[in-house]
Amino acid sequence: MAAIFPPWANVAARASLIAGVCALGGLAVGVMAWARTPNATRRYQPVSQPVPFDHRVHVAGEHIDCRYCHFSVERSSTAGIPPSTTCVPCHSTTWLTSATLAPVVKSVETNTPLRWNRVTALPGFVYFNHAVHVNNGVHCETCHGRVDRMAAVYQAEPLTMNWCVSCHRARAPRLTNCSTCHR
Amino acid sequence: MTASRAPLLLTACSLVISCRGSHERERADFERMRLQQRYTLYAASPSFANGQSMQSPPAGTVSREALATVPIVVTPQLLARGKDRFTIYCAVCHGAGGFGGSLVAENMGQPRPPSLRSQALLTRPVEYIFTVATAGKGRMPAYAPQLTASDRWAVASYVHALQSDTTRSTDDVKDSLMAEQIARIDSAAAAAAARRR
Repeated sequence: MAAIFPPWANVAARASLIAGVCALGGLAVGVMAWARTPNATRRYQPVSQPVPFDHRVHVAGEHIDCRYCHFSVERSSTAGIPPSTTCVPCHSTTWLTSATLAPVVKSVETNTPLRWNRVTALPGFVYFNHAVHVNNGVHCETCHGRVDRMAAVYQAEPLTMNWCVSCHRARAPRLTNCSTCHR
Repeated sequence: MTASRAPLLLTACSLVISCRGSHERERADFERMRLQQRYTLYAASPSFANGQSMQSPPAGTVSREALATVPIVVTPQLLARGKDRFTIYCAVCHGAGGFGGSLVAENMGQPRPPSLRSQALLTRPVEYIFTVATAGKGRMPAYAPQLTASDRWAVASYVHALQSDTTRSTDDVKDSLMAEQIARIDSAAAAAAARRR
């Protein structure tokens, strides 16, 4: 009776087992590596908005401080989206009748908030506090990048846990336990 | 024989480790954390007539903090705070020195923000500046949402101090020069409009 398996089948069996284990491990590593790429963290992807608000014009061009519009940043967990009425005083003579500003006008007239699209999103169990960061020397651009150079705002940093923790370890080593951010 | 068993053993081991117990409880716990039963920021709420989860206090509400800060005592700290807030919320239009020379003032068209260091405003009491900062005036919106009452008193005190200051910093000179330039633009435009008429 002839042998069912030729002699090289032994090598093939071992090789396929090793390859299988490597593939499993590689898949896990691959998924973890992919999760850190800009594609997975939604980094550098400009988000379209109902009104194409250009931070370059207002911040770099007119020297308006971030806190002029995002005024709750120093006393609240959130930086805040300014009420639509914030635009009106200056834009009552400039650009008011343009189609670009039509959603703002409608929002003010009907007293309904504009629905801006979220750029930087964190999971529900991450309790980030803007005030505590801003009041302790972390600048806006540390996490948000140079918004004054963005035509449409995009997420500038990965916002992964490792990214948060790397800064916490270096600058606030007492604030590295889980419940600092997770609840 | 032992050499051929090694990969088999390795595979078996990894399978055993990966199948240890069921993670149902952990998974449920993670899902509970990931999707928490709370309103996220600016989320809509069906529970309120205006559909918002964040509600405003009733009209005419006075914060406890506002009651506690009157009368104010002018200290260097208060003036420093006033300058800090002035730079963020006022200098945008009125200029770093309060002369009305700012990029926004140049771009916004008429009527433009007035100089805070004009003779007409010099005679006004500090309460007047507080009131304008609180309720707005003309084209200027109310800054009560942006500035707490004590911050508005700080700003008013700083503006009052600025008005009595006759020295000129570099910022002041830049600001006043720009204000003069804006005034020249306006008078040229007015003259052109008069010629057309």
